[in-house]
Amino acid sequence: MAKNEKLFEAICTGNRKLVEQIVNQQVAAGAKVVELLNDSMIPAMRSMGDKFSRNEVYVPEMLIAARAMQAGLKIIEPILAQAGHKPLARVCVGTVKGDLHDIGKNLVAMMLKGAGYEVDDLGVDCDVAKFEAGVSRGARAVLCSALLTTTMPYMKTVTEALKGKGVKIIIGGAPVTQQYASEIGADGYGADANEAVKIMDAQLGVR
Amino acid sequence: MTVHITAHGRTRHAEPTPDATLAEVWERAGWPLNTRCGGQGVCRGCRVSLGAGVYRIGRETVTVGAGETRETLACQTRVLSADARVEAPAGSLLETQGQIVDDFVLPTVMPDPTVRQLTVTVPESAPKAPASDWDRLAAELRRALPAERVEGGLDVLRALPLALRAGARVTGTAARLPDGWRVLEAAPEAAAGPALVAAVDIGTTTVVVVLADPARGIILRRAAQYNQQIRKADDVAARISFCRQPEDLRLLQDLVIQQTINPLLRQVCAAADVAPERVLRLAVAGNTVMAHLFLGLSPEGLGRLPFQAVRHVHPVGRARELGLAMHPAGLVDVLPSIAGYLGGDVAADIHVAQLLQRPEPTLLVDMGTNSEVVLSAADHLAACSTAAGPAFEGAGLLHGRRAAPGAIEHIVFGPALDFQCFVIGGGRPDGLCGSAIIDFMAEGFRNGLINAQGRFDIARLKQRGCYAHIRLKRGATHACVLVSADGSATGQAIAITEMDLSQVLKAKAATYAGMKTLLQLHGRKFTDVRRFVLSGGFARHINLRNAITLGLLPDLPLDRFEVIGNGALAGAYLALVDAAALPAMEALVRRPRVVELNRTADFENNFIDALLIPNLHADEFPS
Repeated sequence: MAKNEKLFEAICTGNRKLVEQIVNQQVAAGAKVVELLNDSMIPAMRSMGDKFSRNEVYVPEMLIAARAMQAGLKIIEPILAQAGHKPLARVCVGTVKGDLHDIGKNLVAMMLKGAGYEVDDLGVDCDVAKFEAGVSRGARAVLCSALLTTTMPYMKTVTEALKGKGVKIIIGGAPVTQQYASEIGADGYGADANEAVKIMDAQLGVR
Repeated sequence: MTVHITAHGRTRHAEPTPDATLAEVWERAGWPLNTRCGGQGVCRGCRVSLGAGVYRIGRETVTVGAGETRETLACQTRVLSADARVEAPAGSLLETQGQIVDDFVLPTVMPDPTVRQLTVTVPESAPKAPASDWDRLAAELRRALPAERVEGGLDVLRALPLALRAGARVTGTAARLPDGWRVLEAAPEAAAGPALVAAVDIGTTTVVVVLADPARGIILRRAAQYNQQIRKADDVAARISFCRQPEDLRLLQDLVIQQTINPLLRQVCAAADVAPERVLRLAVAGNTVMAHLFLGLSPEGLGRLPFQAVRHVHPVGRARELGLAMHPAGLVDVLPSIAGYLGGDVAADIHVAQLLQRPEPTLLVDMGTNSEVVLSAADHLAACSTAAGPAFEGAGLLHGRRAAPGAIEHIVFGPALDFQCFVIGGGRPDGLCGSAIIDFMAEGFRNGLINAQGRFDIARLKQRGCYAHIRLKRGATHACVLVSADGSATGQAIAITEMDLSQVLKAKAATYAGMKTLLQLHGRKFTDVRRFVLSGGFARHINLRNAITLGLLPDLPLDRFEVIGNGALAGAYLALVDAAALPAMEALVRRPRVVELNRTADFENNFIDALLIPNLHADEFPS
């Protein structure tokens, strides 16, 4: 299926209602949802991510677009599951113990879904056990977020607990730096949501 | 070993102690750098440029050759060779002066001060029924106050025989405690000095001290300066992280008391021509973390879930224990906290705005780096805190700065982009503060210069000759030049970038979404709000109409807004001059339902909706 320009545009401009309307129409008309996803929706989010990296769009527009994407995914996810669609890989994301901030983490989760990953969102205030549970459900990578300098040290605890278990550990959040990631032995660091996707692609060698 | 440090075109020569970081060298030389992350090498606030010499950066030894420079973080760098030259850009230096807001609006109160000075005639001891000096003084004071219980410490007993030797007229200064009165001082009438009080607002950024005469109910002097704790860490979380060790906690306590409050107390007393010892009682309002650091209590539990304080309602403290520059027997009241992120400043706001006394649905917001929101109505009281980030205070914007002399505070322009800038203190501007960027975005949106997503009409900017393409570390961004290089105080053009606009959008969205979510949780809408109270310094200076156009404040008739100024300072002042105030605040802290926005499903949606100008739901902004 060729790219559905209207859907692509609706996601990029964050028009949630229009995205839902187009996706519903397409589903009703018997379109192949996998193609809708791969040819229009994922490219839209990837395009937003690239623009974000080039400073052509900023966090507010990213969040609005991601929410529109989420609305579209919600409609097609059950159909994809039924069709036995294979995502790029399964990964889990969570904000570390003691921290309740989730908007940044949700954007990362959204960008990953938008890029074709299956995302197990562990929520906020995640202790090691929650991350371990994510791994036992098949996650090949763990993404930890922290927004406070007071909660950031818990990333070290998570990294130490999961090291050597065959899972990649990627960290991010406002106070986090590449230097900190290296110091605690994490596999990667994403300065923003789009970089998180790129690091994930590189670490898992999926693209 | 000498290090030559340069800033603002001037050079100072420092002699660092072995192993001092460059950040410490600068601080000791009197030019503290912005180490807001607590010197952890995270915030990049203390960037400096190294000239020729040998240095240790982190664990690595680095040699900078003659004629070369290298950028580094001062907090991570030590000097190994003699005569090294280091230069700091103006943006890395901590500003030390600010325009300080200390005006406030008080409700009508019956003055009933918590410190009183009374001159009584102490009778001679009757030979038939001998009574001690203290019993005779206490009996007179009980009658004069009047009070059932009057007690006094050893200092008073020591001074009493001397006072009585001078004559029967003795001036006693007494302070009200929950269970009676405590005599703080007894002096011969002729020798007694005035009994004054001081109210203190400890903000994360700014500390304000007001000297008052409780008997006359008037404010004598006021003074303010930055909270010197910013030298170590500039936001609340960074301060919590900073004091993991007891000595670091003591250092922060010392910075706020010895380096901030005491100099201010000496300053206001000198201006009023009284000795600091004439301050007999002090009341402090601040957020929960500030209250903890002032008292030397560990804020560790406030740094992560469940954001637990050591204590919310504090006993009356002693000046002596805290090392305050006031009467050594003086008393210290600390306003009570509601929760980890809702401190004594919010308790003060609620009390000063009389939210419990007035039945109409009221929304109170104290805007700052953290905005606190309180919703009250006849049947409920709820509060939450929302993280707006530092954009309202001018920080984090390319040419943003705090509201201090030299900052643009208001901007007016029409479709021709004829920018008229109003500068605090007049003269050429060196940047712009939060209220100015609110004006700029609102005017820009009305004129079609800025669209709902916060992007410029580039063609318009180019046509009017005020377009700039600015390269930043994170990439390039479009910008609007507000003041050309020859019109600014810095010799550089002052511009607003699209990245700045996106920062403000996030800040305004967090604030608006916090208010909306709290209302929704209680089944209400903005239009149900009859009274909208704005507290804090930033709100005192914004143009309300523009804040509504931007979508920071809801679209309500302007007469529903009430600006009360510094509610925290007003609360501290009331605690001293109205004996009912502190008990009322201590009683109200248990009342609000504390809402954790991050645990409220609607918050994220409301936040994203509010990222547009004025809002994705334009119908919320009919005018």
